[in-house]
Amino acid sequence: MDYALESLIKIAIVLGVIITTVAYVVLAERKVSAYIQNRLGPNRVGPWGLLQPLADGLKFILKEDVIPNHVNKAIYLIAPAAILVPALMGFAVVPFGDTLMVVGREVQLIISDADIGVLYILAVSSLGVYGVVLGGWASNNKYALMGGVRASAQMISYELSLGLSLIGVLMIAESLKLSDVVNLQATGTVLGVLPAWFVFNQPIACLVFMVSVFAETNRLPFDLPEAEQELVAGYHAEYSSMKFAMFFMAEYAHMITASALIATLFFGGWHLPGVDPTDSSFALSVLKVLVFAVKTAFFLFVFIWVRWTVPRFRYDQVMRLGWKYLLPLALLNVLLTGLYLTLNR
Amino acid sequence: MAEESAEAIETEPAEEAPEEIGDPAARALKDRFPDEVLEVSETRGETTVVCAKSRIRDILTLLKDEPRLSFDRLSDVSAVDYTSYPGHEPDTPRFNVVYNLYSHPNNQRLRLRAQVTEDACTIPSVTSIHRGAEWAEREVFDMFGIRFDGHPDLRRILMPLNFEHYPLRKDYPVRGMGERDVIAPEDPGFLGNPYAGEEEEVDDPLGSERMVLNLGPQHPATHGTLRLTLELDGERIVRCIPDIGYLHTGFEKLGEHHTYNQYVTVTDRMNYLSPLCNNIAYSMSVERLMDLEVPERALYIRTILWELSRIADHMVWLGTHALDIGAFTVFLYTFEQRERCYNIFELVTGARLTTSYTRIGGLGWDVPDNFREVVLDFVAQFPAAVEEVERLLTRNRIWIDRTKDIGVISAEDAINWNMSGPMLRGSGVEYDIRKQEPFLVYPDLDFDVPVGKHGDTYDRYLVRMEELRQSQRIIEQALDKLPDGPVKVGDAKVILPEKGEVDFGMESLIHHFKVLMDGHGLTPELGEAYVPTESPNGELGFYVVSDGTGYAYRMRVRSPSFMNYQAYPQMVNGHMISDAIAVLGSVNVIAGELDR
Amino acid sequence: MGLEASLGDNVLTTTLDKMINWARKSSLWPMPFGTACCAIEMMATLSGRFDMARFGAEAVRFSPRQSDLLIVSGRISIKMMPVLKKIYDQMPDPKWVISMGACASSGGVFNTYTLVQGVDQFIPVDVYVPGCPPRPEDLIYGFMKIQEKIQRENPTQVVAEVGA
Repeated sequence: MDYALESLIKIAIVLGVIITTVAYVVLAERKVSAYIQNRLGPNRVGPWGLLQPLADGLKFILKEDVIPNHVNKAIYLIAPAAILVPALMGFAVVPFGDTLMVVGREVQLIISDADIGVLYILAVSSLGVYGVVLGGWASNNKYALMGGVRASAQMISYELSLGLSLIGVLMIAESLKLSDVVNLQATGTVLGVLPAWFVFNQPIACLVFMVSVFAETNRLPFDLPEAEQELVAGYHAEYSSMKFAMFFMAEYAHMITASALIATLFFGGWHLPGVDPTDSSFALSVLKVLVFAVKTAFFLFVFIWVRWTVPRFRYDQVMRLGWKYLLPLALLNVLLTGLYLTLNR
Repeated sequence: MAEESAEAIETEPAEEAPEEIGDPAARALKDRFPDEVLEVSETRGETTVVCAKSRIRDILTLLKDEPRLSFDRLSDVSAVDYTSYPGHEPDTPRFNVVYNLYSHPNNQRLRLRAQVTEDACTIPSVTSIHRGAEWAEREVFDMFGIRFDGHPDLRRILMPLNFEHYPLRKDYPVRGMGERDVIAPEDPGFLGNPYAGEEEEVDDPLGSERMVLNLGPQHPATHGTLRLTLELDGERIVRCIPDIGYLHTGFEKLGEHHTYNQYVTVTDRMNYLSPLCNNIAYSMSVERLMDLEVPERALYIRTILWELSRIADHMVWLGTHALDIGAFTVFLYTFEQRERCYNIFELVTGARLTTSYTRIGGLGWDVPDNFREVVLDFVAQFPAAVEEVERLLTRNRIWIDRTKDIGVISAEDAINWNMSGPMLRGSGVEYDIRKQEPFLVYPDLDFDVPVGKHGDTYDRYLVRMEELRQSQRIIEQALDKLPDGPVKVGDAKVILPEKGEVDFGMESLIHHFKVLMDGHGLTPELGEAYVPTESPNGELGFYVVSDGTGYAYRMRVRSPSFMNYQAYPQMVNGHMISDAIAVLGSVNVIAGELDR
Repeated sequence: MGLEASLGDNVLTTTLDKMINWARKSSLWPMPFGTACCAIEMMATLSGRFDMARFGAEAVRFSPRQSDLLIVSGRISIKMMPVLKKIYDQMPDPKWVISMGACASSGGVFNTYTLVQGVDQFIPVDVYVPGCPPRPEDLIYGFMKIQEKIQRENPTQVVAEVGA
């Protein structure tokens, strides 16, 4: 009972934080892009434009909800949920801190420290593609359909590299539990100086993972499913009001989960070099949560930064990159890691 | 029967054959087609051959294939309705189809006018000789109702398919016959489906289904009003049919209803990326028609503004091209530079975009005193901005992958399709009107003409980027050489006197009246003139026919976008949708200029 | 009728009105229907120097279903008008329309056979921005006029009437 209550509270907090963060990542994207482009960005709505997300959300809720006659209604209605829910679910196994003493209880700062955490993430992220494809197909619009088709091909292709890139990490960690992965990174060093983050002893995996994650979240240079200049709005072209907002939120929720995963898997999660990982005093626990938040925020910034800097790939180029470069690279990484482990046995 | 009688009439004027034909091409034509060539005139440095329509194909073939002549580019096809022209008899042919030819090897121009009667309103199509005639002939059909025998696709091009009149005929009123007030927006046929009635079975052994995708006219990549109908096999384009005319404004008809100076205002709005080029190109044609010698200071100022316009134009091209390929930030960087150009235009002309700065015979007024410093300030900071964009794109792997070997067009095809400007130079043809047929003060200035090698989107990108640097060189030199003096011709019969003089001087007041009165002031003699210019997009020129009044009798605009865009289907066939967007960006179609 | 009477103009509805209006005017996502010269000035308005983003209006949506404000900028020919009408119809309520520039508002200098002499003959227009083309400042002013107009609306009243 206690466990259920604890989990429920954690879920509520995490969901609340993510949804709020989504709103402010949207604002951050508008602000950061503005600074990159010598503009000011939103600054009229509330101080520094801070109320902009609120206004946008409220507007979307109050907007007429058009369901075109020519759509497949049931699927059309399910699709926005089918994309937003998996994007949020991924966060369930991400440890956003170590442990925290709350009213005399030691609370693990993770919703569910599942034994198959990594597998769960791969499974949930595969579900995301359904929302895109179904949305594109049910809209009965050629642009949306093409967006959906592009998305399915792209996301399925990159899932492979995504999964394979993690094998090297798992071989070293010898566990699918994300808390184990983080704990391992928090102990020891690489080459005596660097922290034992997997970015340092699995650099190839890190690279492949990051590129694949960009493709999975449909962000530039991989934003083909909605490529504004080609497919107008892609798979969500026919969606209006809150349903469109859900697609919009899903993209950013995806980004947050992805950033959190990069931080957790390759950049030590809540670990800060120089801080004793076993010390679980209240102040240090809070500090660890903050460290994790900062790392996640940094990768969110990278997502935004890349989007406003590079051009877009073409469909076949995306496929070529995925199958001809990333996949062999991921396999090579598995091979190298295996060799290393065998020789050091 | 009607055909025969027309022939009989046409041969009549041939009796008064000109004594001496100086132009070798015209002489060769007279020798080879003595019966068809009716009249040869050489005025204002332009050669015009009037001929019968029956063997127009043979004439153009000879002109193209004869090595001595090799008129390999048909720069324009248009028509003139002579119904109310002075001296026009009811029994002489009503229309003339006008062919404007250019020879790349000999750097020569020749104008052919073929006579067409109203009863037998057809003429052989020359698309089999010059493919670039395709759209121009369609436009003549659309506007005048002249049918082209043997044309592969003779449909209306600018007006809606169900439009019933021929707007450029003299008997059609400029304000229309009520079509613009009673549009039935619910009429689906009005949109015009190029596939209507064409349900052909596609021969496809794999049995895969093809999809027809309608792109535009309101699509983010079309920057306005282009429409493409794409037949797709997956993402690959099997067939592409462009549909234009969504911004048809009636510029050419308006030219017949505005006095020469009034029309300057209208030209602003044609290529809205570089309005000053339109102003200047138009004024030059009328000035040639009137034999006006524009003062040197005005020429220099025009040159500086021309190159600034090129920079401003290329800035929008670069921004939107990058935007189409997904690099949004470049768009905002280039617009910043454009804003700086706007500052200069506003300083000089008083307006950011619709400048209306030129007058026939010079400029509206002189540039302000700080013009030199302001322009120098601009050119000083400009290279850094170009470099910044180059760092983002030129060696960016994605950019190269997206543009290299995309939308390739060979030099031969480019000429045959009647391309000009950076499109032609990207294919390796070193043709820049500023060098070949110099206008303004370009002969006095030192600059290079960049050419590409492969004719792909990347080369066109490089060519335009290099042009930006050359423009900067030209501006610097022209500023150094900028002479003092007046900026308008001294002829009081043509140019409005200064306001101060009008208030106090009797003579000036009289001139002021006369210039503005109908039938006085700007009234060129009977005749025609065409001055080709190198606008940022390519060959821009106004073909003006005068009937001796203060209004042009016919105003034809040879716009680069219209001609460059027609080869688009050939450039994108077999490519993917994303490539089609990239190529569209590199063609830089300006809808206002395309549809006029 | 009854509902409207019972709701009336009390503190609750006016506060709600204010909030809804505030959200709507602060988040006007434009659908740019740019055709000609005005479109270039509209781009300038979105770019660095003028930056419509300050009002939260840089989120240009090319899908009419996701937009709130139609900016008709440029000349509309008789061939284009049906397209514009269709796009207007596809936009979900509440929607607003700016007719930017002389051509869209009245045909401008082009009194010719092919140009619609003012789009307001076929779609409703909220704000006309004069100019040929209007400067970006003018467009921003027109945009603020739309915001003022939204601020004066009574959305709850409308709901009440529809409900009755």
